[in-house]
Amino acid sequence: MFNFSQWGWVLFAWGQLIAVYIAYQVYLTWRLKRLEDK
Amino acid sequence: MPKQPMWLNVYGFVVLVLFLLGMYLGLVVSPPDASMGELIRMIYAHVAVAWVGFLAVVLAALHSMLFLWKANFKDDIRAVAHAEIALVFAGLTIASGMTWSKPTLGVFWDWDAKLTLTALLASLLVGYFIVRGLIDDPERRGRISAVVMIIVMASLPFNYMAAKWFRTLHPAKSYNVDATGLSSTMSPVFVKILLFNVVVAAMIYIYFFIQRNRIGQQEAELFEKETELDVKGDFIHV
Repeated sequence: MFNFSQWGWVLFAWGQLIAVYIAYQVYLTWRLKRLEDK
Repeated sequence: MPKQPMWLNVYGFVVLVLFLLGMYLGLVVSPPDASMGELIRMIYAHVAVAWVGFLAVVLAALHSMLFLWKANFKDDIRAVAHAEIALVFAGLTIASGMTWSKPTLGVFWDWDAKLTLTALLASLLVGYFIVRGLIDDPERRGRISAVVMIIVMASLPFNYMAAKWFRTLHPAKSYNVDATGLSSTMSPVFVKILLFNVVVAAMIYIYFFIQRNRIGQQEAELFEKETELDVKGDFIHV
């Protein structure tokens, strides 16, 4: 049986992973860009 | 600053595709668990980042030891790169663990051995960067922070065994590694998808590490150039 509540928690956990990976990649790109500007 | 090499971009693209495949396996192919239902799909996110986070701490401590031994600054830069990604993965481990704990066990957090040791691990990693920020002399900073990182690693065996040694809310290990290989109480389909996602998390970790290590090396070179210029400038002024 499809359980919406359980799927909400599952997608929230996977969403955290995606959000943090993207945020860290943006941070690394920003640091690289800052070095390029120096 | 040279641009990111093409091979790293290709590797990043391969990792992205494998991550999406791992997500597909975890969210679509994996069957629901008999007792936990759909919530089992969080195991692929949580356990993968937890194991890779532990690996990152071990590698940071190994490079810290190498720095203490050889006094090569490349090891200090590598230790920092590993430590920074270890902090990211430790944060993800705690966040995804809390998200899994609430619907399965009824609470986000409990101050038991396993969870407290994981919070301690993340706090010690934050402490590592605070210590580095407080010391200006690069050699002294490298040596003292290397000792801090070895202390961080010393907490790992207790964390790894906590669910077995102590009464804790965290489930006991459902796998075992010995001379006969990897055995598990989980159904083989769960194990295969979990191991796939662990490998993908490790590949993401390598991708981040290569980038972070390059940044560290470039910053060190820039620092050296600036220091040389300062010295030359002093001679002109004198």
